[in-house]
Amino acid sequence: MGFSIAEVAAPIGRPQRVWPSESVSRVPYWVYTDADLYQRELERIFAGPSWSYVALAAEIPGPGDFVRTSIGETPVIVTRARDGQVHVLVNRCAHRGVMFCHATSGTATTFTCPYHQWSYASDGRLLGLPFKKGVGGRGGMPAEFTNGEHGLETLRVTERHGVIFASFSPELPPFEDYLGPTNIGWFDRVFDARPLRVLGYQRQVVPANWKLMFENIKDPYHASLLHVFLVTFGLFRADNPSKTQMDATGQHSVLVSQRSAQREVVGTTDIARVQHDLELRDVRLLDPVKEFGGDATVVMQTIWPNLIVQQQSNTLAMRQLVPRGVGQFELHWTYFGYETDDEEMTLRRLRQANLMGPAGLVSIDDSEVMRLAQLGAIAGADRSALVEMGGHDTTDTEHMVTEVAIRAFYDHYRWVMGL
Amino acid sequence: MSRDNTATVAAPAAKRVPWATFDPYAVRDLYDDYAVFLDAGDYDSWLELFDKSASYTAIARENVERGLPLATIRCDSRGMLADRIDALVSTQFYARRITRHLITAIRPVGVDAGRLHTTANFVLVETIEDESTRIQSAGTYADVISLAGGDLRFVEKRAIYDAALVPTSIIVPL
Repeated sequence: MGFSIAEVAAPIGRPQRVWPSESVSRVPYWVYTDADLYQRELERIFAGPSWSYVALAAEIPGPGDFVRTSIGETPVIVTRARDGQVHVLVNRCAHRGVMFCHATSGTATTFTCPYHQWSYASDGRLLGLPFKKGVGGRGGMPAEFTNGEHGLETLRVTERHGVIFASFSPELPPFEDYLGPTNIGWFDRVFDARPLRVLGYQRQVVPANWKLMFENIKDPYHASLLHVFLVTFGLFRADNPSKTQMDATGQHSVLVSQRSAQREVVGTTDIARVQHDLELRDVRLLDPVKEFGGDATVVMQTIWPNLIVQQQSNTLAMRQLVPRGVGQFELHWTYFGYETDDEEMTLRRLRQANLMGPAGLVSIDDSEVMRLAQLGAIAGADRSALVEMGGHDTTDTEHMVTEVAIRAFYDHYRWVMGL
Repeated sequence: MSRDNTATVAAPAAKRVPWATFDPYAVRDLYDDYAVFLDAGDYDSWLELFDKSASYTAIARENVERGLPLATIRCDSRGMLADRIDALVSTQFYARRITRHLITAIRPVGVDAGRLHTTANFVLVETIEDESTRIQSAGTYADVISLAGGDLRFVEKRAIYDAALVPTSIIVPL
């Protein structure tokens, strides 16, 4: 007796994922571990109607300058053509799919694929290919082959005050409308059209789902507890004036706070590891100066789907998220200042960079915790995380004892993903 | 895209110079102590290997090649390095780990004003609790060593790590 075809060949049914409740104050752990869902995220979020950060204009100041990066897992190059126009091209030869550009950055007016030497211009046009008309009357491309139909895949590009974004989707609003009135205001606070100076890069790969990085920045509650260094030196504390502001959709948010004098103990009694007797031996490590209008000293903005704009004291950085599979992401930090910075200010930014990045006095805590969060999620895919600090709502908040921006994020996420 | 067939992106190796008044065994001892003190978590002894005004930098090779100043760790004095160690010991959160600093190819590449310039290769091997051993980073040191009060000390230490993409975090200095 044999098995029926149906029994043998039936695909193993994966039940459609269902959000466990109507509320976004519960987040099912399968959002961090489901590989099929991750593939849909790449399509709907990163290749969907979103403006992905790709580069600072200051990284490609001259004609022919380019940098290589990724949107989702798709490799792209950001180029500046001879006419000054910025282009974002998929780094995949139109012939056989080779990722032809492997330099991280450089200057080139044409790109040639090493495999069959198809060459492209900075705007993605196919310039030529060897043996197009055959050799000795034999072979060659068919008569109907035209270069014009076989250029590189190009993306929509927008630039605001020196920051370049790109999209695979033709259907999305201009960047200003995409960010919304409140968040564009915070964006323009750092990017006020002054020319930027790139100070350098830090890159790390974190064994956790990419959304955990966004959640981390959208969560001021953790920062006043996990980051003992920040708390100890007054840079970020639960009793500091603070607010969280979302755009109308909840996809973008900004966390704003204001440092206090060190050693105030209000609100720090719940923090087990706070070091009241720690003194810096070299105060140059942490000598912030006021450089923006207003009282805010920390402004962390998350821009859907791949960017965190960091201003903590005088460290300014783009943190670009690149997902690499459901359980891993890369974080690329581009630190910058302004062309008008004097030497002292540049030095201050370079020293304060000690707080952040893969060896950051503060940010080490986050990468380590995200690794553990992923391990917990893997082991509990049928359970949910509790996200109800500050209530169940998704509205702007004037304190930091809240997870409201995470709820707002998942509100939007569910809508995009149809969950 | 050019096809220049240089297998490595390394700058030409610095030319070796004579050890001059420096004792090569004593220099080797300095590096051995550096590795052993760090891996044992004996940070006080490790800090003693630096001159008071010493600088310590860990920087991605990418930034060096692109002429960009940003480091991943930048300490402009032994005090600042000690501040970082304070954070490592008392404020930072991370999984427990065992490290092994493997240092080879120590070469004298310059002598000026009684200070010795050296280069060396390093590999940092890391074993995080519950995980297999992995290579955390590899790179080169470009250092300056001085003889003060009978002891060799680092005046300048620059760890240039090869892979820009760091596996999770750099917890223990390179």
